Amino acid sequence: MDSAELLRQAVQAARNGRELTARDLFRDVVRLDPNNELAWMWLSGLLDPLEDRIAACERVLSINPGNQRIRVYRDKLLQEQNAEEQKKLSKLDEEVQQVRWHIKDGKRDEALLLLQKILRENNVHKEAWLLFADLSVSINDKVRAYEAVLQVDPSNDFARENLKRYRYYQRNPLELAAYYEEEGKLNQALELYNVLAAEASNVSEFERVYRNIVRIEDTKIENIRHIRPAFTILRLSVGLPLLYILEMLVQEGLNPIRHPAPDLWIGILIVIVGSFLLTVAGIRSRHVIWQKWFGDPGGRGTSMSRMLVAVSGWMLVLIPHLMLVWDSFMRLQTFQIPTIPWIR
Amino acid sequence: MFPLNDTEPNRYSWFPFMTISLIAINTFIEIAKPLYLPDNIGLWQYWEFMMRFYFTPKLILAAEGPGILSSFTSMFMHANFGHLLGNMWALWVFGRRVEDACGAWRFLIFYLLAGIGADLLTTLVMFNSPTPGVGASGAIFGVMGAYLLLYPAGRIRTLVIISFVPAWPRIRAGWVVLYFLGVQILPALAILFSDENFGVGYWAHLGGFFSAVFIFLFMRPEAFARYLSDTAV
Repeated sequence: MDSAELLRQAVQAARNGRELTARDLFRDVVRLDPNNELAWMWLSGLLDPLEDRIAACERVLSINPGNQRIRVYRDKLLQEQNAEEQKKLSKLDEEVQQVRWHIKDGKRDEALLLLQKILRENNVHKEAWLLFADLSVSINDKVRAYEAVLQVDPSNDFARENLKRYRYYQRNPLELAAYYEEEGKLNQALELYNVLAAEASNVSEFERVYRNIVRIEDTKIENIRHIRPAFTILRLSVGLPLLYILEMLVQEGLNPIRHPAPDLWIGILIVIVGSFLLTVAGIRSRHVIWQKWFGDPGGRGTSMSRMLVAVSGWMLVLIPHLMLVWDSFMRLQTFQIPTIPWIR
Repeated sequence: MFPLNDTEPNRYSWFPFMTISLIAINTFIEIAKPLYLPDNIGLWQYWEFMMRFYFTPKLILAAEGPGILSSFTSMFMHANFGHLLGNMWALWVFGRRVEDACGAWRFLIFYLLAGIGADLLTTLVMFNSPTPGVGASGAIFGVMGAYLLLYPAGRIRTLVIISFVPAWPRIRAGWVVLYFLGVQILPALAILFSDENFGVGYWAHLGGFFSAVFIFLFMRPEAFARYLSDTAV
């Protein structure tokens, strides 16, 4: 049967209301004659998904660019498609907003379930993937989520940084659990430790993880307050500069104006920096120093980088102190021992 | 009343490295004293030695002599073995658990800070005093004050002699420390309002004690969180 006969049968079927038969016949026609404008025009009305109808219109326009009727029809279909997508997206956005409310109300499980539903329906929803990455305990899920975000938005630096970090955590999972603890996310830390305990390859590894589980459970039972690492760093950085200030006051007879020693006072700034570095090296927490200076993907510093920063800190603290001691020695050189006051 | 021992165990570390080290350094300096201060030393040489190594408020205020160096040297020297024993015993009783709450190095910095705080208050109050002072007691009072802040409910095995009968009950730390603080106040006021000099650095003790408030700058993160949570440090 030639394409003209097929076309005639197809049109007949369409006019008789046998749409499925007509559609199949029109498909056979375009298979035999891919440039049959009339067949494509009929298909643009018979095909089912909107995308296929639009594709049929495009095909007609590529065969005959002057077909104004189809052009208008194509534009109408495109508008319909847009409206449909908008509707779908706004429904998803509403659901994402609902996820946020669940998170705010502490309903993490509900939030995760809803997110999984959203991502099943639309796996290119960036916000949903970001929330999923944030909520999920599994490191593999986080990596998957950030990879998905980068597929949607390759210029997303936040996702790129986090992907790098969580790939590092895939190799060092205990580091992530420790990070959760620092941030006060004890439940997440506990969940991760439980996963790690279940996945432990030997007894010693299990015991190491188990000790952490016991410690966190004790912390929860005793209701110990969480203190942010930044505050701890600030608190512990104050001690050494304070000691230096007291030393300076003693050295200058409690009166820095009467006995000025600007070079020694500059030492305070050096001690502040040194004390800060020492504290940062001593407190296991995510800090910009480890990320920017040492390029550490975990952001918590390796033992080598910590040692380097600690040594620098000690040196910065010691130098002004040595200057102070040197000043004392210099004063001793010219010191005239006073007479004994009780012997006249 | 003489504190014998803190009966509570450590929480964070098993060995009080810095407390033991401080006791060892102080003891070593006292044992080595005859090397730099022989028995047959003359009065002037002894005076010269004191002016160089002991803490003298008048010199400090005039910004003369060794300055801060004398604060450190006097903190590690003692008048005699009895003086050393009393101080080191107190350091052992109260220092072990304060060190536990801070960690060794932060404890050392706090100890030095309390010692200098003691010297500062002495200089402020006895600014005209030419009498050199020596001993770790200012710093140790700082440690005692810190103990009072951190472990007010702790119990100290204390030797008490009532009518010549010795007893060693476990007394609440708060009472022991407050007793030692209390016995400083009257003589300190007497020094302030008269020209009395009892040969004891009462104001240094008070200065060290008040420096104890800085302990919060030196506590381990976990100990500090426990303190803020009203849980045993």
